[in-house]
Amino acid sequence: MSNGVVFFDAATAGYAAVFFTLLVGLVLRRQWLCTLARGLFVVAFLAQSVGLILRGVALGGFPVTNTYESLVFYGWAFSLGYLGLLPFRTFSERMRDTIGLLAALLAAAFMVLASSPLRSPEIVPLVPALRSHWLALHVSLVFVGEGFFTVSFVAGLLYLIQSRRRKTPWSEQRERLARLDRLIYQTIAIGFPFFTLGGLFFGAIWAKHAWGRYWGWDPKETFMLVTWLVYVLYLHVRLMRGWRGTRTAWIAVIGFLLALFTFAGVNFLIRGLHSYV
Amino acid sequence: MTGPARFLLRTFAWLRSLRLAVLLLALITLAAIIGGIVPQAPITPNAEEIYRAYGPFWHRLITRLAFDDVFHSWWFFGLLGLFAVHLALCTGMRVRESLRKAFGKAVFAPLSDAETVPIETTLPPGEAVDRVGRSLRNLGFRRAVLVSEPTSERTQWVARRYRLGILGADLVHVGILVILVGGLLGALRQEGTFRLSEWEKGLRIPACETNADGGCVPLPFDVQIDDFGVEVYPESGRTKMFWADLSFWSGGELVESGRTEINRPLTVHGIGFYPWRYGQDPAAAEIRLHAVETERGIVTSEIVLRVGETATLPDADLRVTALRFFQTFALDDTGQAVDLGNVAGGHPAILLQIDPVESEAPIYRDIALPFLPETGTRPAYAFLLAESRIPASMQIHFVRSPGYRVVWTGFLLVMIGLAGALYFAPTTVRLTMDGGRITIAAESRRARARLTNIAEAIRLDLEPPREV
Repeated sequence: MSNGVVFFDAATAGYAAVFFTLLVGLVLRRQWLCTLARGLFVVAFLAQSVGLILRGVALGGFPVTNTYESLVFYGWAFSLGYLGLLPFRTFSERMRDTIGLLAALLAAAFMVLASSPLRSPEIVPLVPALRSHWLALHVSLVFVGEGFFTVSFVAGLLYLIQSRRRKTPWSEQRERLARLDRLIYQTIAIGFPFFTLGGLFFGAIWAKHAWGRYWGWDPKETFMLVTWLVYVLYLHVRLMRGWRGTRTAWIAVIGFLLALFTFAGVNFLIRGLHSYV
Repeated sequence: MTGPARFLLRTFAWLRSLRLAVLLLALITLAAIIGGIVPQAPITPNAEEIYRAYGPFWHRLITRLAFDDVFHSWWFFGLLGLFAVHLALCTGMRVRESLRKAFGKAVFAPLSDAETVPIETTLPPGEAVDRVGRSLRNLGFRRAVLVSEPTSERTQWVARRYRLGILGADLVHVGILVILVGGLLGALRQEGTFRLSEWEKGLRIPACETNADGGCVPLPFDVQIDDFGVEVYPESGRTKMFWADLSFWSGGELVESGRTEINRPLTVHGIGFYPWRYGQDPAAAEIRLHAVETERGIVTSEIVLRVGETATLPDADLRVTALRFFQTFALDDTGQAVDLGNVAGGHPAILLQIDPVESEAPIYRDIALPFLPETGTRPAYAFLLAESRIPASMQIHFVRSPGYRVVWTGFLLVMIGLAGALYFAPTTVRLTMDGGRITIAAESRRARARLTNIAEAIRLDLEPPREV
């Protein structure tokens, strides 16, 4: 049975091709290249999906049991978040393609990171603690939530870059910024309940089943809570205090960086119960 | 108003203010970051050494400010307590208004020019009213209330969608409060462990009041491990699953029995039993010893015993007690015997106490290895470790966690609240039809963002049918 690596390599090449095609298309303002790149993005995403399915079948479970699989799944969830954005006509094609450019770069970066020689793509049988249906629920929902947060991060970065540009006419720039601000809010508003349900609640229920306690201040749990609190802060200041613009864009960027640290940094820097690498 | 009353009012207003909410969220986040980065003493065995390695300044800072145990520190509990008070006050003050908005009668408030979108129509008033009503229903405004009669010159509607969503934020707050209460109940948690080797299968461990050092368990019933084992992956030989069959006894009567597996704990009378560790127990090793008469250099007898047991040599008046088993025997720098654990190529050993049965000869201790070491002086008998077997062992963890159901309830409330607040955000729009002009207005900022889309949908529905 295939371990899906061929499909993952194809997806990596696909995302890299999307990045360069979009870059050329945006710089030279060739619409057909951008359209081609969007098609390629879908193909790369499908290849990644097939790879994940094959790996899941070979593993006999949800393929998020080690760092390699987690990175691939994270990239997949993030690409899903971007593709979910495409049907919405709120943005100009150029704006969507600019977001796509960063999305392809990040997706390719995740795949390259996963394919590094330090991460073995071999299928390793599940350790007893991971043999649970809660694994699929816990991890998949966290990644879906983080996929949306990644889009909010990309939009936040674009907002911060755009807000410093002085060449664009003010009215046009204001319109663009308002749309980016709305995108940051919408993606966080969609992703936050997934992240809460998967990361905190299903994680707690699983911990109760596996270890007899639902919360133990393990570093991973703690940083999951920190990330959650930052997004709670974002929602409060935006919805209740009416904050908009640069300040909320910064919170979105910080929130994602914390999510990334929770996912990857904690595993490598701080030892805890979640160190299954 | 008197000074103290003013102070109380100000304190009350501050306690329920959004400013405090933001401040507390930021402080709790910061505390959690500190607790996540600084190794926490209760879960880090060498925490004190690590703090010392940071240098005296950091060591003093960490220990004085309780950064070594942030999540059990008085100031962290203080922050959580203040947060709970804030949530309770904030929600208590809002919930009445939210309930009125969710369940109260729709009221038509005057329109403001800045918030309105106009729609022109040429349809007769009666048909326009019908179409607007249908359009609103299609948009999810199931209860579009007609404020004035459609026959009069001016017709007014108030339409609401997802009105229960207004309770979302309050439900999230109540849910978090419930979770905090559950966490507080968790302080009454009781837990412990017991461990048995495969020689002890079927042994019943009696219940006792407190966690006495071995021999009994602080449970309301006696516990017996009937069996335990491990499943391995056939291809790799790695551990797939381990399990234990337990039975519980009270006054000689069977209370309950069942299997506990990883991720599938067994719960009896509110106490969860978890298979904690499966491994080998060198402390219960079984050994086969050859007694060698040193003068003649021949094996005179063979004895089999387990660690802690005593056997008598049949040919000599000696009693041999197995004191300690070493998986891999070594001597450290001070000459002390140490066990290096399971090391490939290492030699096992057993520490013996030799006790003359009916003679004046002194009691002595000896180390038995799989070979006879060269030594200058030897007693009458030397011992050779012919064979050893380390039994499998199972450690069971038991927990009584009284607050977890309360926490689950809190989770449920938070999720319902989040869905209401973020996915089904309430929208209230007001429409006025004055002749051929319909004006549509939104109540909240979020509804105003959707106003253009709603007006566009109504406009399309009001277009007269095209001639074919």
